[in-house]
Formats: sequence, C-alpha cells, structure tokens
Amino acid sequence: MSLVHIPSADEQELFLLSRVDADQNLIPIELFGTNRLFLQQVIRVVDDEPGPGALETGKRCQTVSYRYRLEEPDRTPLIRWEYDREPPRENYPYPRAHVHVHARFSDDEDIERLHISTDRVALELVRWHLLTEDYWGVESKVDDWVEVFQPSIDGFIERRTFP
Amino acid sequence: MNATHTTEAGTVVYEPTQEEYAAYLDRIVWDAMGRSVADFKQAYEDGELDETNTVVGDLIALLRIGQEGDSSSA
Repeated sequence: MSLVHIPSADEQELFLLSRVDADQNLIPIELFGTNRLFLQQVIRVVDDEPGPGALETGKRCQTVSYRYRLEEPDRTPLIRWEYDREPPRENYPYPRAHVHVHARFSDDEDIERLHISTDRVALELVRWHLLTEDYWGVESKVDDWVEVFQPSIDGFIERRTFP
Repeated sequence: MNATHTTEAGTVVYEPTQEEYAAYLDRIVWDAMGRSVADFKQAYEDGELDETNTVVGDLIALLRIGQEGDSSSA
C-alpha cells in the first residue's frame, strides 16, 4: 500500500491511501490471484475535540471518502462500497455511504446504478465479507483474523464522530 | 512524484509538492477521461457526467469535489 501526503494550500493534513504501481496509477490488490480489491481512501487529520473519547494525541483521522471495490481480474467491478463525507454536489439525492452491486434483475436489466444505503463501512468489514463468502475464493494468511478484525471494528465504531 | 520513504509496515510514502500533485492529478484525470481537472470539475457541475460510473466516482473522490476545504491542489 502507498500513502500520498496531499499538499494542501490551506494547510489541511490530507492523505491518499491506495496501492500505486510503478507508473503511479492507482491499482487493486490481488486476492490470491483471483479477484482484486481496489482501495482508495482520502483521510484528513484534524485536531481532536477535548472531552470524552478524545485521543491522547490530540489528533483524529477523518475519512473524507472511500472507494472499496471488488473487481474481477480484468477490473470489471463486482461490488462497490462508496462513501463521501459531504455530498459531492447540491441536491445530491443518494446516501453518502452506499453500495453498488453489479448484477441484473431477472429481466436482465442492470442494477449497478442503484445506490444501496449503508452505514459508513469499516474496511475490515469488507474484508470480512470477502473471507467468509466461499464464492470469492479469498483466504486469510492468518487463522485468527476475526480476533484481529473485531477489536479494530469495535474501535472504529467507538471512535467515530460522524456517520 | 517520488517516494520519500517506506514505513516499517512496508507502506510507501510520497510527499509531492503542490505542483507535482497537481500535475499528477491532471495526468490521472486526462488518462481516465481525456479531460483536464478543470474541465472535469466543470462537466460534473454541469451535470454532464454519469456520477454512478466507476471511473467518474473515483475521480470525484480523488479530487475531493464537494468536500470541505481547499481542493485547488486536488
């Protein structure tokens, strides 16, 4: 994975987290040579508000946006988890966190344009889905991944200050 | 945009200048859409782009369109 410290004219602390190839294109992670997981997350570091739940560092990371996407090897999307902290435009009608499923109704109509509402999803839950559904054929490198993910998910829920 | 260092966990860190990052975004948007960043933003504002398209959605997030604060460098 790569971290790009985004230079900001107004001195915000911003970072782009993704995987970057030699030509600096954003590329997905291979999942044991089968499907791919594309990750693109923009993070902002802000001063923490004093009070209950405040972190000792006095700083807090905010997710500005994420794009988590399960893809086929040719990069055809299968499932897209998306979030924008603020609506990207006026009168944006969709939930800020949503999922797109690249599937079809029984009459063959594509449903990938549907914005299926979600809460903001921790990346660990995306990986949880990939690891538990045999359909994707994804395996963990460690056996105790639940014990690793669960505290992280709990911390995500405990620390977040914004939906 | 050159990598500046690698963390203990193996994460490669880049620290581009504003000019480097602006050029990087210009290249990414041009490669994906055949437009400049400014043209992309204008086209999105004008409702000309399909925001449910995967590529468009990625760029909206990458450019921080609609998000709080400065986006001139993104």
